[in-house]
Amino acid sequence: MSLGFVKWGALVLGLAGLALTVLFHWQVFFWVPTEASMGIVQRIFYIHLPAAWVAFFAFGIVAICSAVYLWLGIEKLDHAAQAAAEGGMIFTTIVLTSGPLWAKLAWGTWWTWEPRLTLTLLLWFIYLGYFMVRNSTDVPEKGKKFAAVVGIVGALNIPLIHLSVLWFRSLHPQPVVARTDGPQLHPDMLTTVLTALAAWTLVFLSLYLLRYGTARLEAAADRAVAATRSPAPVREGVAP
Amino acid sequence: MQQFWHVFIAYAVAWGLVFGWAVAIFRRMGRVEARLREAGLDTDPDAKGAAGRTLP
Repeated sequence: MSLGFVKWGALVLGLAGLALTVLFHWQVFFWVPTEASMGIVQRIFYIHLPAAWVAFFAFGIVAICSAVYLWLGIEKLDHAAQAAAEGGMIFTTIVLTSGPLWAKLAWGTWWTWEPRLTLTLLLWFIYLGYFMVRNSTDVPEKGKKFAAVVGIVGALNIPLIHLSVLWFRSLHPQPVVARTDGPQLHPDMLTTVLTALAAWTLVFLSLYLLRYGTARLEAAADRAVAATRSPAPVREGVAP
Repeated sequence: MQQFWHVFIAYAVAWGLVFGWAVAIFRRMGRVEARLREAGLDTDPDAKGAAGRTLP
Protein backbone atom coordinates (compact mmCIF):
# COMPACT_ATOMS: atom_id res chain seq x y z
CA MET A 1 0.00 0.00 0.00
CA SER A 2 1.63 3.26 -1.12
CA LEU A 3 1.61 6.39 1.02
CA GLY A 4 -0.33 8.23 -1.68
CA PHE A 5 -3.08 5.61 -1.44
CA VAL A 6 -3.01 5.87 2.35
CA LYS A 7 -3.46 9.67 2.21
CA TRP A 8 -6.27 9.53 -0.36
CA GLY A 9 -7.98 6.68 1.47
CA ALA A 10 -7.79 8.62 4.73
CA LEU A 11 -9.24 11.73 3.06
CA VAL A 12 -12.19 9.87 1.50
CA LEU A 13 -12.97 7.91 4.68
CA GLY A 14 -12.54 11.05 6.80
CA LEU A 15 -14.97 13.10 4.67
CA ALA A 16 -17.54 10.29 4.70
CA GLY A 17 -17.08 9.95 8.48
CA LEU A 18 -17.51 13.70 9.04
CA ALA A 19 -20.68 13.77 6.90
CA LEU A 20 -22.16 10.92 8.95
CA THR A 21 -20.99 12.63 12.14
CA VAL A 22 -22.99 15.77 11.27
CA LEU A 23 -26.00 13.57 10.51
CA PHE A 24 -25.80 11.59 13.76
CA HIS A 25 -25.40 14.75 15.86
CA TRP A 26 -28.53 16.13 14.24
CA GLN A 27 -30.28 12.84 15.03
CA VAL A 28 -29.06 12.81 18.65
CA PHE A 29 -29.94 16.42 19.49
CA PHE A 30 -33.01 17.11 17.31
CA TRP A 31 -34.62 13.87 16.11
CA VAL A 32 -34.34 10.79 18.32
CA PRO A 33 -37.01 10.43 21.07
CA THR A 34 -35.97 10.89 24.69
CA GLU A 35 -35.74 7.63 26.64
CA ALA A 36 -38.58 7.42 29.19
CA SER A 37 -36.80 6.29 32.38
CA MET A 38 -33.37 8.00 32.16
CA GLY A 39 -34.26 11.13 30.21
CA ILE A 40 -31.79 13.35 28.33
CA VAL A 41 -28.66 11.75 29.81
CA GLN A 42 -29.41 8.52 27.90
CA ARG A 43 -28.16 10.36 24.76
CA ILE A 44 -24.63 9.59 25.94
CA PHE A 45 -25.44 6.06 24.74
CA TYR A 46 -24.95 7.25 21.12
CA ILE A 47 -21.25 7.88 21.70
CA HIS A 48 -20.66 5.33 24.46
CA LEU A 49 -21.65 2.21 22.50
CA PRO A 50 -20.00 3.19 19.16
CA ALA A 51 -16.78 4.14 20.99
CA ALA A 52 -16.76 0.72 22.66
CA TRP A 53 -17.31 -0.98 19.29
CA VAL A 54 -14.49 0.99 17.64
CA ALA A 55 -12.15 0.22 20.57
CA PHE A 56 -12.88 -3.52 20.30
CA PHE A 57 -12.45 -3.35 16.51
CA ALA A 58 -9.10 -1.58 16.94
CA PHE A 59 -7.83 -4.08 19.50
CA GLY A 60 -8.99 -6.89 17.20
CA ILE A 61 -6.75 -5.40 14.49
CA VAL A 62 -3.91 -5.22 17.02
CA ALA A 63 -4.31 -8.91 17.92
CA ILE A 64 -4.49 -10.14 14.30
CA CYS A 65 -1.60 -7.97 13.06
CA SER A 66 0.49 -8.86 16.13
CA ALA A 67 -0.09 -12.59 15.67
CA VAL A 68 0.90 -12.47 12.00
CA TYR A 69 3.86 -10.20 12.86
CA LEU A 70 5.13 -12.77 15.38
CA TRP A 71 4.67 -15.49 12.79
CA LEU A 72 6.10 -13.85 9.65
CA GLY A 73 8.08 -10.89 11.08
CA ILE A 74 6.74 -8.40 8.50
CA GLU A 75 7.48 -4.90 9.85
CA LYS A 76 4.41 -3.33 8.20
CA LEU A 77 2.19 -5.47 10.42
CA ASP A 78 3.86 -4.12 13.54
CA HIS A 79 3.18 -0.58 12.30
CA ALA A 80 -0.45 -1.55 11.61
CA ALA A 81 -0.80 -2.99 15.14
CA GLN A 82 0.84 0.04 16.75
CA ALA A 83 -1.48 2.47 14.90
CA ALA A 84 -4.57 0.44 15.85
CA ALA A 85 -3.46 0.22 19.50
CA GLU A 86 -3.20 4.02 19.66
CA GLY A 87 -6.72 4.39 18.26
CA GLY A 88 -8.01 1.70 20.62
CA MET A 89 -6.60 3.60 23.59
CA ILE A 90 -8.31 6.83 22.46
CA PHE A 91 -11.69 5.15 22.04
CA THR A 92 -11.42 3.16 25.28
CA THR A 93 -10.70 6.46 27.04
CA ILE A 94 -13.91 7.84 25.50
CA VAL A 95 -15.81 4.80 26.85
CA LEU A 96 -14.27 5.25 30.29
CA THR A 97 -15.14 8.97 30.46
CA SER A 98 -18.61 8.92 28.89
CA GLY A 99 -19.64 5.92 31.03
CA PRO A 100 -19.17 7.59 34.45
CA LEU A 101 -20.85 10.80 33.20
CA TRP A 102 -23.88 8.69 32.31
CA ALA A 103 -23.65 6.44 35.39
CA LYS A 104 -23.64 9.36 37.86
CA LEU A 105 -27.19 10.27 36.83
CA ALA A 106 -28.47 6.80 35.90
CA TRP A 107 -26.99 4.76 38.77
CA GLY A 108 -26.19 7.51 41.27
CA THR A 109 -22.44 6.84 41.23
CA TRP A 110 -19.51 7.79 38.99
CA TRP A 111 -17.86 4.39 39.29
CA THR A 112 -18.51 0.95 40.73
CA TRP A 113 -16.31 -2.14 40.60
CA GLU A 114 -18.81 -4.21 38.65
CA PRO A 115 -17.46 -6.77 36.09
CA ARG A 116 -17.86 -4.84 32.84
CA LEU A 117 -16.39 -1.59 34.18
CA THR A 118 -13.52 -3.38 35.85
CA LEU A 119 -12.68 -5.44 32.75
CA THR A 120 -12.83 -2.34 30.52
CA LEU A 121 -10.44 -0.50 32.84
CA LEU A 122 -8.20 -3.58 32.76
CA LEU A 123 -8.29 -3.47 28.94
CA TRP A 124 -7.14 0.16 29.03
CA PHE A 125 -4.25 -0.72 31.34
CA ILE A 126 -3.24 -3.73 29.22
CA TYR A 127 -2.86 -1.52 26.15
CA LEU A 128 -1.08 1.12 28.19
CA GLY A 129 1.29 -1.75 28.99
CA TYR A 130 1.53 -2.47 25.25
CA PHE A 131 3.20 0.92 24.71
CA MET A 132 5.32 0.69 27.86
CA VAL A 133 6.64 -2.77 26.90
CA ARG A 134 7.38 -1.52 23.38
CA ASN A 135 9.75 1.12 24.66
CA SER A 136 11.17 -0.85 27.59
CA THR A 137 14.04 -2.64 25.84
CA ASP A 138 17.30 -1.45 24.33
CA VAL A 139 16.67 -3.68 21.29
CA PRO A 140 13.63 -2.27 19.41
CA GLU A 141 12.87 -5.62 17.71
CA LYS A 142 12.58 -7.32 21.09
CA GLY A 143 10.24 -4.60 22.36
CA LYS A 144 8.02 -5.00 19.30
CA LYS A 145 7.75 -8.75 19.89
CA PHE A 146 6.93 -8.34 23.60
CA ALA A 147 4.31 -5.73 22.70
CA ALA A 148 2.80 -8.08 20.10
CA VAL A 149 2.32 -10.72 22.82
CA VAL A 150 0.64 -8.13 25.09
CA GLY A 151 -1.56 -7.07 22.14
CA ILE A 152 -2.77 -10.63 21.63
CA VAL A 153 -3.35 -11.30 25.34
CA GLY A 154 -5.21 -7.99 25.73
CA ALA A 155 -7.69 -8.88 22.99
CA LEU A 156 -8.71 -12.01 24.92
CA ASN A 157 -10.37 -9.58 27.36
CA ILE A 158 -12.83 -8.33 24.71
CA PRO A 159 -15.22 -11.33 24.67
CA LEU A 160 -15.12 -11.32 28.49
CA ILE A 161 -16.26 -7.68 28.52
CA HIS A 162 -19.12 -8.46 26.13
CA LEU A 163 -20.26 -11.59 27.97
CA SER A 164 -19.69 -10.29 31.52
CA VAL A 165 -23.24 -8.89 31.71
CA LEU A 166 -24.61 -12.36 30.91
CA TRP A 167 -22.29 -14.32 33.22
CA PHE A 168 -22.23 -12.08 36.30
CA ARG A 169 -24.61 -9.87 38.26
CA SER A 170 -24.02 -6.44 36.78
CA LEU A 171 -25.36 -2.88 36.88
CA HIS A 172 -24.96 -2.76 33.12
CA PRO A 173 -28.11 -3.75 31.22
CA GLN A 174 -28.23 -6.85 29.04
CA PRO A 175 -27.16 -6.21 25.42
CA VAL A 176 -29.77 -4.21 23.48
CA VAL A 177 -28.20 -4.22 19.99
CA ALA A 178 -25.92 -7.28 19.64
CA ARG A 179 -28.52 -9.91 20.60
CA THR A 180 -29.19 -13.29 19.05
CA ASP A 181 -32.92 -12.45 18.80
CA GLY A 182 -32.27 -9.05 17.15
CA PRO A 183 -31.93 -5.51 18.55
CA GLN A 184 -34.42 -4.43 21.21
CA LEU A 185 -34.52 -0.69 20.70
CA HIS A 186 -36.99 1.87 19.41
CA PRO A 187 -36.43 1.97 15.59
CA ASP A 188 -35.36 5.65 15.68
CA MET A 189 -32.85 4.93 18.47
CA LEU A 190 -31.50 1.97 16.51
CA THR A 191 -31.11 4.13 13.37
CA THR A 192 -29.27 6.79 15.37
CA VAL A 193 -26.90 4.37 17.06
CA LEU A 194 -26.13 2.62 13.74
CA THR A 195 -25.42 5.99 12.08
CA ALA A 196 -23.13 6.91 14.98
CA LEU A 197 -21.43 3.52 14.72
CA ALA A 198 -20.76 3.99 11.00
CA ALA A 199 -19.52 7.57 11.57
CA TRP A 200 -17.09 6.64 14.34
CA THR A 201 -15.84 3.61 12.42
CA LEU A 202 -15.07 5.74 9.34
CA VAL A 203 -13.41 8.47 11.43
CA PHE A 204 -11.31 5.81 13.16
CA LEU A 205 -10.32 4.14 9.87
CA SER A 206 -9.34 7.49 8.39
CA LEU A 207 -7.07 8.43 11.31
CA TYR A 208 -5.81 4.86 11.55
CA LEU A 209 -4.63 4.94 7.93
CA LEU A 210 -2.84 8.25 8.51
CA ARG A 211 -1.19 6.95 11.69
CA TYR A 212 -0.10 3.79 9.87
CA GLY A 213 1.37 5.86 7.03
CA THR A 214 3.24 8.03 9.53
CA ALA A 215 4.66 4.98 11.31
CA ARG A 216 5.92 3.63 7.98
CA LEU A 217 7.51 6.96 7.08
CA GLU A 218 9.23 7.16 10.47
CA ALA A 219 10.67 3.67 10.07
CA ALA A 220 11.84 4.49 6.54
CA ALA A 221 13.42 7.75 7.74
CA ASP A 222 15.22 5.92 10.56
CA ARG A 223 16.60 3.40 8.05
CA ALA A 224 17.70 6.21 5.71
CA VAL A 225 19.49 8.06 8.50
CA ALA A 226 21.17 4.83 9.67
CA ALA A 227 22.29 4.10 6.08
CA THR A 228 23.88 7.55 5.68
CA ARG A 229 25.68 7.23 9.05
CA SER A 230 27.16 3.77 8.46
CA PRO A 231 30.61 3.93 6.76
CA ALA A 232 30.85 2.87 3.11
CA PRO A 233 32.35 -0.60 2.62
CA VAL A 234 36.10 -0.51 1.75
CA ARG A 235 37.28 -2.86 -0.97
CA GLU A 236 40.82 -4.26 -0.72
CA GLY A 237 43.26 -3.05 -3.36
CA VAL A 238 41.09 -0.33 -4.79
CA ALA A 239 42.46 3.21 -4.71
CA PRO A 240 40.10 5.75 -3.12
CA MET B 1 -30.01 21.14 33.57
CA GLN B 2 -27.46 18.74 35.11
CA GLN B 3 -28.47 16.12 32.53
CA PHE B 4 -27.62 18.50 29.67
CA TRP B 5 -24.23 19.28 31.20
CA HIS B 6 -23.33 15.61 31.48
CA VAL B 7 -24.31 14.99 27.85
CA PHE B 8 -22.38 18.01 26.55
CA ILE B 9 -19.27 17.19 28.60
CA ALA B 10 -19.33 13.56 27.37
CA TYR B 11 -19.56 14.67 23.72
CA ALA B 12 -16.96 17.41 24.19
CA VAL B 13 -14.46 15.01 25.81
CA ALA B 14 -15.05 12.43 23.07
CA TRP B 15 -14.48 14.87 20.21
CA GLY B 16 -11.62 16.53 22.07
CA LEU B 17 -9.81 13.20 22.29
CA VAL B 18 -10.43 12.35 18.61
CA PHE B 19 -9.41 15.85 17.51
CA GLY B 20 -6.31 15.67 19.71
CA TRP B 21 -5.33 12.34 18.15
CA ALA B 22 -5.80 13.81 14.65
CA VAL B 23 -3.64 16.85 15.49
CA ALA B 24 -0.93 14.60 16.99
CA ILE B 25 -0.88 12.46 13.82
CA PHE B 26 -0.67 15.47 11.47
CA ARG B 27 2.11 17.07 13.55
CA ARG B 28 4.02 13.78 13.60
CA MET B 29 3.60 13.36 9.84
CA GLY B 30 4.74 16.95 9.23
CA ARG B 31 7.86 16.40 11.36
CA VAL B 32 8.90 13.19 9.60
CA GLU B 33 8.24 14.66 6.13
CA ALA B 34 10.38 17.70 7.01
CA ARG B 35 13.12 15.39 8.26
CA LEU B 36 13.05 13.43 4.99
CA ARG B 37 13.08 16.58 2.84
CA GLU B 38 16.10 17.89 4.78
CA ALA B 39 17.88 14.63 3.99
CA GLY B 40 16.94 15.04 0.30
CA LEU B 41 14.78 11.92 0.30
CA ASP B 42 11.35 11.18 -1.15
CA THR B 43 8.54 11.28 1.37
CA ASP B 44 6.92 8.15 -0.04
CA PRO B 45 8.52 4.90 1.13
CA ASP B 46 7.07 3.16 -1.93
CA ALA B 47 8.18 5.76 -4.51
CA LYS B 48 10.13 4.26 -7.39
CA GLY B 49 12.37 6.42 -9.55
CA ALA B 50 10.99 9.72 -8.31
CA ALA B 51 12.97 12.95 -8.45
CA GLY B 52 14.68 12.71 -5.06
CA ARG B 53 16.65 9.81 -3.59
CA THR B 54 14.28 7.01 -2.64
CA LEU B 55 14.08 5.65 0.87
CA PRO B 56 15.86 2.39 1.64
